[in-house]
Amino acid sequence: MMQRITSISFYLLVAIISLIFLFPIYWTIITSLKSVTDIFSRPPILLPYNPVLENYYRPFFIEGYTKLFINSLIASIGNVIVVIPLSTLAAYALSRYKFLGANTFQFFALTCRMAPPAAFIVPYYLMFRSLGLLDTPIALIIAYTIFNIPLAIWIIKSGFDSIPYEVEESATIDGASLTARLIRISIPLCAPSIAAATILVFLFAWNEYLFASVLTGFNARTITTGLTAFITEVGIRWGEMAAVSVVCMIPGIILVIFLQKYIVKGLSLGGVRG
Amino acid sequence: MRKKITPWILIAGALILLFLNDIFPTIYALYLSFFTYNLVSGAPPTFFHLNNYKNLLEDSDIISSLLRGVTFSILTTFFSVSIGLALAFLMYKEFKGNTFLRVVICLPLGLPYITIGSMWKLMCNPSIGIIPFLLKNFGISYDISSNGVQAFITTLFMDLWHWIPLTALILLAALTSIPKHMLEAAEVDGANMFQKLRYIYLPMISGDLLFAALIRFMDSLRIFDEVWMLTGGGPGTSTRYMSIALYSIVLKRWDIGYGAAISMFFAYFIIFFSWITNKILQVRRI
Repeated sequence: MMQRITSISFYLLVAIISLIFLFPIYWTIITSLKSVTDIFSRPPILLPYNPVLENYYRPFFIEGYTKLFINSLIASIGNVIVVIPLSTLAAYALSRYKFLGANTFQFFALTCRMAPPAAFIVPYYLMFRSLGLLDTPIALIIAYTIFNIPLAIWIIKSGFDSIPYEVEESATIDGASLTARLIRISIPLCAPSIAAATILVFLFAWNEYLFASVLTGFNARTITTGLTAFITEVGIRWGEMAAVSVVCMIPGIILVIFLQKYIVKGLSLGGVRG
Repeated sequence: MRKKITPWILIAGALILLFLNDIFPTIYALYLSFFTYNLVSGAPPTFFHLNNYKNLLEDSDIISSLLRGVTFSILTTFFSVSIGLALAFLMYKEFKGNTFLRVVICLPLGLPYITIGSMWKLMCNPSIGIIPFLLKNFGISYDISSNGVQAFITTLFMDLWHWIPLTALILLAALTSIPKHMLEAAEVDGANMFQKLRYIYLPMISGDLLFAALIRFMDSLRIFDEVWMLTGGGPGTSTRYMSIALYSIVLKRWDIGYGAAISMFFAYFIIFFSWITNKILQVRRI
């Protein structure tokens, strides 16, 4: 009997915690499906009986948020295309060679990641302005490398570190060149780490707001920066804000659901320490 | 000889991009910080000696936002590590639905920071949100657009909601890596839960506790997106943290020289903490 009670109270605790973490997301989703009158109804409606899609329809089909969505995709995919190949090569070098400056490079990459993004908006704005790259996806693709290259190197390097060197050594003895070794052996073996890095790099680029809000204006605006546009002088367009938030959240939610077990495993490998 | 050059060729691409993106802007910002240069007036930059820095140290807006940010960071670090530890112990237990709880807890970590701001905005607004509605039943009038203390506390809760999952996962990973035989030995010796906590769990994960705390402290000093969306730094200056002050000064006045000086000040403040962090973690490892 006693055990029953502890087990019930334990599950009650788990339920409350889950509720705390799920509720804000749930609230956003249901708000996006409510009509204006339902949004303002008191007491608040917790389960919309007549869900509407107008909050999605108006921004995406009339006000051009589809374009912002595509811009976000371009910036994120472009960033992956730049970051992943360069980081794979750098991670390979850091994993396989002992060379002067390797540690300095790693520390330098770490400081890039620690740097406060807000401190970079002034020089970035002027830099990209003088290059004529303001309001282009290229500006975002380049700017995002500052936090994504260190991240990708760190993840991919731990992948290369876990491949025994003997595998490559036998290929070297057989006379394979570095390029052949990389393409035929090391990169395929490291594919899971490279895939994980690709997903995270995409997600960080997709989720970014600060640089996008400063470096883009009209043409290359991303979907996250579009969110603040619903806060207007005459009031906040709650339904649309919720709907666009939901669209912004989709990649992150999909990622977490599929990668959950790797997240705990990855953290326990503890590459971060140091 | 060829062998020596190979690694440099391999890292060249990443190195050049990071250099262009980090070192160059830093030097550029340092250079600009000695000038007065306003994009609105359009006048060419003129040399200003150290006056930007002098103004900065006398600018109560900057100094108070720095202190506010540090207070915020200390509070959020303390609560996210302690609550995260409790949550890690909960997830450490094996029970049905463990995976579900892990997925749920991971969710906030995948979301764009700006949407976390909009989510909390949807919950906190007096006319549509559920939080003011519920608090009214307890006789509390809740309005973060006019009550500064409530706004500060709300940003704290929002940050905890966002980041407790990270500390919980770090500490969960640490708990899982404790060798099972140690715990079994303690049980054979008849150790109770408190003794196990005091002599096994806490000493074994002390390094991870420190790591989680330092990561949280430095990350929360840079907080921007979600607070910008939720309160915009207000009401008044009650949630005007460092990044928000910098962003508003730059985008309102376009005073590039002064903005660069604040950026340098802010960046060095954080780099100083990163350096200390690095030192502490190194000492711990030895």
